[in-house]
Order: sequence, then structure tokens, then C-alpha cells
Amino acid sequence: MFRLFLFLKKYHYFLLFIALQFIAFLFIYQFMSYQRSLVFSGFQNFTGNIYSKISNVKMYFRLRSINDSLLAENVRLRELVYAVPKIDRPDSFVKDTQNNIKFKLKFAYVVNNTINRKNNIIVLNRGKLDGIHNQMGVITDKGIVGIVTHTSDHFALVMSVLSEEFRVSAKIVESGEIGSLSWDGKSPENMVLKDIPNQVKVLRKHQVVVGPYSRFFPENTPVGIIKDFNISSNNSLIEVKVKLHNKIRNLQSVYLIDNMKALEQAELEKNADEK
Amino acid sequence: MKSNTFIIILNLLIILLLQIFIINNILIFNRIHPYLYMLSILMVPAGYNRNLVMVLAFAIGFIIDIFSFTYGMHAAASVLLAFVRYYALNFLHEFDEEDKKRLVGFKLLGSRVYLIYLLSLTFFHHLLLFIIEAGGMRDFHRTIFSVILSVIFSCFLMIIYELAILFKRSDLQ
Repeated sequence: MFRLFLFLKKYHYFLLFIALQFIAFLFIYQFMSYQRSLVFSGFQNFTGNIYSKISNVKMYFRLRSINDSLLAENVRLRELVYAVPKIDRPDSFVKDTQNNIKFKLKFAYVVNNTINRKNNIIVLNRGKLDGIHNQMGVITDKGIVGIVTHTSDHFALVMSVLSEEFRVSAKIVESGEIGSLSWDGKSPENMVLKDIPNQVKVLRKHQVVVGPYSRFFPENTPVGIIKDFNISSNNSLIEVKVKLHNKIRNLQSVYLIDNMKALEQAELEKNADEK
Repeated sequence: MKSNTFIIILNLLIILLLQIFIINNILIFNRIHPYLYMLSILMVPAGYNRNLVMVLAFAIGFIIDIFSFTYGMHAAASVLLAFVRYYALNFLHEFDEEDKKRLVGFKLLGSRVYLIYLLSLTFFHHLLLFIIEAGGMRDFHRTIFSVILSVIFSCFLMIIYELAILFKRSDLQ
């Protein structure tokens, strides 16, 4: 204590100087924005790095919710896209777009997924309580995935495009030719487009999309590109090998498409069959 | 001693008024900022309590700060000035008991020593002031240039002030 007192007595002048300078610089820091910004920018390189690392980690935990919100927005935008009528003539006049909302979309995450069976299935994390019902089409941004076949309260079972029962009408974009797309059970990357007439010019890398007759998918939903083709045995039809855009084994999130007018279409077709 | 205190306070008031209302508005060539108010610290007799002088310097600097919206800058520079002044006085002059009671000025130190005293201490003051103002060592050439020019102008002002006002009252010393 006494030593401290001696120390203070000896250096009180210098200590007072330091104290007053400290107060002055405190004021400078507190009130002078330019000087303060300099102090900050000095620390900023240091703290900024740390904060950006922390926020990267935080971001990682928030990815799911960010993804959810993005998917929800995509659903809304896709509905709008599907609602826009095809205008053939630029001077044509669209009366009412409300009636055009033919497709309602929802999104879901893939829970389980098979690719090695004859009839492959995909399980989604949404069910009846989320408004999912049978016969909804399932797509991703890249292409078609399947059709909902069973639903429970919280899950939905999807018949994958990699099923031998699966059929969808498909169209080659460049030639406009329409055929029936199915899976031959061989490779999970390829499907087969049948019923293409012999005289149609088919080339590799041509795009294949969903045709106009599908009840489950909007027209022009992408499917894949032509990988290979061969003339089948009876010589009048071509079998086209289509490479899917989607990698079914890596699916994470999908959109479910509810065709509002599917029931109407189905009833009409049924009536036509009966007659 | 008492009359000295009176002179110091009177001069302090005059100097502050001059500084705040006239000299603060002077800016020559966009570089040179002369200051006069250091004189009120520099003229305090060597015998005064050095701690008190330093606190006084802080107060004076802060008053200038308040009026020029530079909170803390002048206070810091003035405290440095008061701190260095104690050592400078002891270095420049041998004080006897009689000298310690007299105001520091031309009469006490002699014109050559007093000029060195003014220039060196004003330099310390301005150096810290301008460095803080520039925000550190960046652009240091420019800073040191304005420091040197401002020191010359400030000393010029202080000498004029001293010759004009202080010496008329020199009989009070």
C-alpha cells in the first residue's frame, strides 16, 4: 500500500497526464464520427472476418427455412406461369386470367426414394392434411418425377417415372411429334419414347417435353433430351431413348401439381368410353 | 501571486473570446489553422501547481472544443502542451524563487529563449491536434506541412498579442 502511495506520489504528474488524455480521446471517440469511423474500420477487418465466419455457420442452420421460403415463392411463380395463356397472335386480347388458373402447386421434400426396383416409389413428407391427394403430378425445376398414388395424413407415395406402369404423353420440341413415354426398367437415367413414326426426323440432343394430352403435368414441362434412337422391328415406328434431366436418385425437393380440371377431363373421357 | 492569477484569468477570457469569435474563422490557403489560446497556458508562472495547470489546460481546450464542435481534440492537445511545458521550462531556464512567481514571457526568459519556448511547445500542440484531425498517420506529409505553417502563424499571433496587451500590464508583475 505504501509502495503504491509512493508510486502515485512519484508519477502522479504523468498519471494525471495519461488520465486527461484518456478522457480527451474518449470524447474524440464518442463525438467525432470521422475519427470513430477510423477506429471502426481498423477493427472491421478483424471482426468482419469473424462475423462473416459465424454468419456462414448460422446460414448453414438456416438453409432449410431459406429453402422453404424459396420453394414457396417458386410455387407461387409457377402457378402464375401456368396461368398465363398462350397468345398466338400479339394483338389477341385476354379477357380474364382468373379462369386460367388450371394448376395449383405445393412443394414437398423427398423422404425416401428407390431406383432399383421395377416399380420405383418416392415418399414425400406431405400428406392429406397438407392438401395432397392422389393423381397429383410431381415435378422439379428440371423435369417430371412421378404421380401421387397413395396418401396418408402426413406422407404421400409417388409412383416414380422409373416405373413400368408409368405412362405420359411426350413431345419432341423440334419436330412437334407426340409419343408415349415410359420406362424400360434398365437404367434410372433413361426412358423410352415410343410410337414415333418412321418418317419423322429425329436427331440427338433434341428436347423432349410433356405433351398436350397429359392430365397430370402442364404442357411443355421438360423431361429430357434424346440420347439415342433405333428403328424398331416392324420398321414403321422409331424407339427413342430419352435421357432425363432429373437425377431421380438425388431428388431433394419437388413440386406437386394439382390439376384443377383433371376431374372434369377424366369424367368426360369416361363418358366417351361408355358411349 | 494574487495579481498574477487575476492577469491570467483576465487574459484567458480575452484570449478565449478572440479565439472563438475571430481566430477560429481564419483558415489560410485551406491549410493553416492558427491558434492563440495556448498562450493562456504558456504564460502561467512556473511556480504554479503543475497538476492544476494541466487540468486547467484540459478545461481551456475543452471550451475551445465546445465552440468548434471538435469534442476532445483541443483538450488532448492542450493537456499535452501543459505536460511538456513543465519539462520545457525547467530545461530552458534556471528558476529561482523569485522567477517562479513571475509570468512566463519575453521579460522573464529573454526573447530568444522565449521564442524557442513558444515554437517548440506550439509545435507539440499542433502536431497532436493535426494528427488527430487527420485521423492518424495517413497523409502525414500534408499534415506535417500544415503543422509547421500553422505553428509559425500561431506564434506570430501570440507574439503580437503579447506585445499589444500583456506588456502594458507588465508593471503588475
